[in-house]
Amino acid sequence: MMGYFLLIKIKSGFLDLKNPLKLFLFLMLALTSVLYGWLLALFSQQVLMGDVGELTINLLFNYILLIIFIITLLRMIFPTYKPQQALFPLSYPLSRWHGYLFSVINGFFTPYFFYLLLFLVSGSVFLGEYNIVFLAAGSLVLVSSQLFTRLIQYFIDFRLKKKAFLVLVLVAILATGLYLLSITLVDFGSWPGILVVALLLVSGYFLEINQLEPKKHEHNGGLKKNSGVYLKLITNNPKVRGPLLVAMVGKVLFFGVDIFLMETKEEHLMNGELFYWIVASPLIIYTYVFNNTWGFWKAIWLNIEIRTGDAKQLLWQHLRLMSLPLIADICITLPLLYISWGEAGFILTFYFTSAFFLIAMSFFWSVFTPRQINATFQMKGSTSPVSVLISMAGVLLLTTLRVNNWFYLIVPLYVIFGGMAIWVALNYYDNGKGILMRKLSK
Amino acid sequence: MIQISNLTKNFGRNTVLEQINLTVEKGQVYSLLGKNGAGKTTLINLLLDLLKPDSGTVQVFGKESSQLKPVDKLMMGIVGEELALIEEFSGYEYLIFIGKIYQIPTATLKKRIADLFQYFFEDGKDLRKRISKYSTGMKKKLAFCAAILHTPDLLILDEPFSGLDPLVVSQMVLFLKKYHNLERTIFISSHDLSYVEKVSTHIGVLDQTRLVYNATLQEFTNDGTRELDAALLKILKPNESELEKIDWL
Repeated sequence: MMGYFLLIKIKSGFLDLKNPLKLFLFLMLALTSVLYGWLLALFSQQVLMGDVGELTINLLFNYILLIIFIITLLRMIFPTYKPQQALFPLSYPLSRWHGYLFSVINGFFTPYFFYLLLFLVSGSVFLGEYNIVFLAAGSLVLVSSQLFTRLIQYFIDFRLKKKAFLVLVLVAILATGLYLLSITLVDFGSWPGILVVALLLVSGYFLEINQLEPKKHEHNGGLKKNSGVYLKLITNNPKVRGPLLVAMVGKVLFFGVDIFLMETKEEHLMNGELFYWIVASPLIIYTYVFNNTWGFWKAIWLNIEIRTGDAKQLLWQHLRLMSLPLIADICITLPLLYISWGEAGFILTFYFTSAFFLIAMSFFWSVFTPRQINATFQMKGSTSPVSVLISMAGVLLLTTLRVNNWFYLIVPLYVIFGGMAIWVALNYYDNGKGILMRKLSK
Repeated sequence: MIQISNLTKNFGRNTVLEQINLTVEKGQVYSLLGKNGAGKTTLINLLLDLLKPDSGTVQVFGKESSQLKPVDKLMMGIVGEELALIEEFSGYEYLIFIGKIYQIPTATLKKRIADLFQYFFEDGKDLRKRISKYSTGMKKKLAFCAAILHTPDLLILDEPFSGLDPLVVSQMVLFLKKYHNLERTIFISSHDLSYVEKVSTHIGVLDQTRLVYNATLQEFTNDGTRELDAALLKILKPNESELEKIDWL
């Protein structure tokens, strides 16, 4: 029965890939996972050769495994709390143990675990002598963190019998034991990892059989639950989510190949000229989505307009919407650019000047050249070609900073130009909102 | 509260509204009736400054609608033709978001959301559902909740009863009756005459681009001696002779 269940789960995962877009995303994300595994191996070799200060290989692995542990835990509450999912209600003719096992195993059949496992496997393949330790420790840390997450969910989701709280004592003893024996996450590759997984599995079952009833998650108000709304506006909107994901994965791949070329042939992708810097800037995010913000989030515009009619409020919402993708882009781009180029002054000036220019202009284009968005990737384009061309030209002109230091004088001009674009858009909005109404309400 | 003078609106060569003159005073519940395509929604969009008049003026709170400041719009509540619901949010998140736009203090906002949900939604779980999963009726109810969350002085409702089941409509009618007072004005465009009759104090009828009737409910129904639909049909004069020509029925 368990085998059949696993077969169905795997089959349904592959059936999803019949959709070309999903297949494309799957391949992109899988390649990214492998690429990160390879980058980890590359970095590990530098650590082993003593090129990275006092960082030891054990310390590096511990950091990586800790990050995996924490991210797996955070999935539970990010962007909103996700209750534990029982695969089979008690009414099914299954023993409690079987029902529990099905739920536990089902929890691992998510894209998240697939890509992380791919990262661990590819990392261990490229690692050389430390490969088995890393793969074993990584896998057991991943399983432990998921089981630990389930334990927490029992306390949040269910009313439990009093003796269920003994599990807290057990976890405390386990944590103390690990600490006293100086067992770190990298040691999870042998008996400590297996012991921890076994204890967490048994503890989970103990809580499973000691639950009284589900707690009702009733609305109790509070603005805290509203904290992830801007993330939701992106993740719950497929027309935005798809392009942003493709742009970011594409960017990671681009820099991965660039770093690979630097390591092997000591040359940059596209010789590090023109188009290279278009990809390096936040342009691929802005031109597709944020040059037409109100096309993608028409309801936000309409709400702000009919309820306040305030252009400044509109600008504020525009900035809030783009802040998360920008932060993600900064996290991806700046470290990878630095690894690849090492010219911190130029990289920071180029990136942040182009970011400011694109942010300012995106508000301008969103007001002046809106387009109705009907599909995730539409043939007629999601933003106006003029906005794309001017954005590209602006970023390309900034690459002259590398030619001669005198060109740094154009940076203040970008700031002034961006500021003027915002000013013009704000002032024009009252008369120009008719364009938005006409174009977005066809 | 609302003052429309010599208003004309064209879409290209097509005239949608022509020489409209209309005044809605504070404390009135004004219902705008008319056939499909008569221009009711266009008139509301002009009130909201989403469209610009070709000639004439539209004044709200004594100001041109295009001159309304954010502080003026805070006194208006709207359920437009487009509900403008942010489908990425749950109902609760949406109302919180709207409450923030209207600068409602958190404690007050939470209480109002809880009260409105209690009244309009049977299942508390609906609050946590994504709006994209809501039925048409639920969406309309949510849009209505968002419109009255800040207790506006001017409530503008475009077809508020369409798509709702009779129970919810009667809830809404009761709610509007309770909401209405001498300081608050409600402007409704609707087809649902039986419900309009229960809340309106004044009636206007748009037909063939013009406002062909504008009076109190008592006058419209001839002091209650006529049914509202009969009174309306008398004005709009449906072409019954064409029906006679369909001899295959």
